[in-house]
Amino acid sequence: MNMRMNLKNKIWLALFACVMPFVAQPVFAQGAVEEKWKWLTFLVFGAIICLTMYVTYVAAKRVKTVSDFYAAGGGVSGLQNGWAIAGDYLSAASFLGIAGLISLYGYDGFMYSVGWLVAYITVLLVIAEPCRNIGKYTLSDILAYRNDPKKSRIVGAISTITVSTFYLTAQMVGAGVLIKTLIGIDYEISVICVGILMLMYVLFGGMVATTWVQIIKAILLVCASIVMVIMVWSQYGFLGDFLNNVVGDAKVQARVATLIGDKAKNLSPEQLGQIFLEPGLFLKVPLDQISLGMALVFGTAGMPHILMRFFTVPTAQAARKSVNWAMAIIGGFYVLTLFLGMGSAMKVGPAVIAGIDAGGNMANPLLAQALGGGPDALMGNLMMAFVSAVAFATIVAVVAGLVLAAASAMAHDLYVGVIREEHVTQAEQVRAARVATILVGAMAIVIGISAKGQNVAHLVALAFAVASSANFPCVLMTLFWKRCNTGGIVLGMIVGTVTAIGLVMVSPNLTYPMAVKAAQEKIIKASDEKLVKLNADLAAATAPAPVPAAPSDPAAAAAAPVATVAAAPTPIIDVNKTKAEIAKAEKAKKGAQDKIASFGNDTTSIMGLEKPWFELRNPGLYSIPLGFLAVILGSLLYKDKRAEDMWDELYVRQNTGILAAKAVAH
Amino acid sequence: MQLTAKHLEYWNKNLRLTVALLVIWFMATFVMSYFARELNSIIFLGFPLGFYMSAQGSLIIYVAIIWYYAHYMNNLDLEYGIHEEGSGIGVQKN
Repeated sequence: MNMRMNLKNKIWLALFACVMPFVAQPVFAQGAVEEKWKWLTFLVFGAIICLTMYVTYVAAKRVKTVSDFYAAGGGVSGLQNGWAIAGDYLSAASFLGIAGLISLYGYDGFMYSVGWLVAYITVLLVIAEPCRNIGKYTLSDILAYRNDPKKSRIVGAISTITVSTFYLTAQMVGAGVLIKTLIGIDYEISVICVGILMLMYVLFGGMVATTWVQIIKAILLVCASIVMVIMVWSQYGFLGDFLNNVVGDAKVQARVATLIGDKAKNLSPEQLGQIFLEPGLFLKVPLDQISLGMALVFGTAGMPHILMRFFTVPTAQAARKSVNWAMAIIGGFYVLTLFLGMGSAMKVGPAVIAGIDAGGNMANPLLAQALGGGPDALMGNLMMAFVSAVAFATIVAVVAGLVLAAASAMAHDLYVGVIREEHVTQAEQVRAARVATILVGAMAIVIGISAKGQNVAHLVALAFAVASSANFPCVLMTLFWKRCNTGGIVLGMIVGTVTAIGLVMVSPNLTYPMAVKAAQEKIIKASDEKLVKLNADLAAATAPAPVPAAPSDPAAAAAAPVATVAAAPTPIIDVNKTKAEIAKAEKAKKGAQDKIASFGNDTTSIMGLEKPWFELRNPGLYSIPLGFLAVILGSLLYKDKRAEDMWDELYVRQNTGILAAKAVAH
Repeated sequence: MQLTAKHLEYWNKNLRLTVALLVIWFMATFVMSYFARELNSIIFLGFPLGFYMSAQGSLIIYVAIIWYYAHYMNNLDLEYGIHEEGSGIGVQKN
């Protein structure tokens, strides 16, 4: 007990060590918050971090057995688990990203949020309940139930670690960039901060703390959204009025006009506003959308950290109840997102949002600031700090869930299941879990820092692609196909993982220097043309009146010789405006030149390709069917007595949950 | 463990419900968004219908689907005596 207290003191010391430097010595880059309001931001961040640390402290006392560590001892109620699932689900991508996409692209922003949401339906109706009835702690437990335990544990663990690492890296890079944008802390320090906090939750509190951190975060997230939505309603009206305001908003109309370019010329402002509510502004390749949708729907069902959640509830009834709650919370949240996204489009304006972060991630924090009275008001900064702190807690909590999943694959599946062949004591298992957590956490920090400035979009695509093409077919077939066996699982995992990764590596997700260079050359050429024209205008405007046209510019003179002579005094152009535009064009040209220079002599992507070999950003459309095919082929070619014998038992157990409680106590 | 006729009956009911709900899910998700532009000519609660469906309508349908599934399955568990009672009592009488 005494040692435990010492450990607790060390946590607090470590926490302060990682937070204090920022308070004492502000080395800020340009954040969204002004310098004089930084203290407020840190105060709110500190309060929320302290709250979660307190929960971890309490939880740590409860974590004694290995079941406590991985599955919170199966003692989480349906309602609690519902909030925790909602917490897992409402990642930074959904809180910040979706509202941002809606504020920038209108209708198509929703197609993203709904796409992510539909995934849960399949999880519940097809996979969640049987998984809960068969599994114990990890994805591999499900596979190992009827297939060869050793082999299925190895492939299951490898796939879990692969998926978690990809997703984790994307989250860490996202966290670093986001915190830098929000409050201007250096990227490296942000990543280390997230890493240390997450490690503390998992290391000391295991699944109990991870669950409670998710619950707290989800409640804060929903409360913050409700408050903001009510404020938006009070200003822009409810339902129909609200939408009329969106359509009639000048900022929204201007956004649509920039998005659709030339087509906007013949449309009235109202028609432009109306387009914001229709599809087509963001998603242009339909096949890619279907492929993305498939990967999201089936990938979520195969995500190891989501599957783990269902092992924390005591009964199948509680599992159903938890999904019921999760669905209502997530659904309610997305209904609010409509008003947050559209509200920030009107209140803040798409141009401002995209100016701070091109992906629109700052829409919600900026809306909070604007609703509270703007960047100079105390209330505005307090609200922005709160929303930012909730977003921060969101990232840390999701990262914690992922680390727990990867660590359990290492410790429970590989170490305990394969190396020690289950001959381990409780204490040894918990210790193994903690060691694995530290390894994974340290790895996440190192990868996060080394991936600074990298394009991580393909990592998210990779995580979902592998989860949907390897994990999902194997789990589904194990649960529902009588002939499925070890051969199928091993082949399915390998083929699914390899095709998913392989196709992403040759897809447009990677950076192709040739294409980027060509695009930049185009910008340079366009800027040059613009500069010639603007300079000519400027020369014409500043030249003495009787001179018809600047002799140095034959193109302009030839284009309108009559007009310039006839109406020489009238076309007085705004000299300052033209000068500003010249500066803008020169800046664009310079940026493009720098970008080309940054590639040096590279002409190919990391894979040595000059252009994408595979056209879809997401390989799901091809790799998911291939994964299923591999499971079927492998099973037919392989004979496995155990898998056949276990079918009846599995059949009863997965549908009824008999014996499942025994697994929890085991 | 041996399967009984009762188990199979329970399982068949479960499957039928799952398929029916997934059909509704598919309609609400993919069919509705495919026809979003056409549906926009209908006004619902002041919203164009296509827009409303993806913004709120489909979400409400999803919640209803899950609620119905949980409700139906819980009743089915009771009817067939297959519900767990925390400590793993399992099937009471076959």
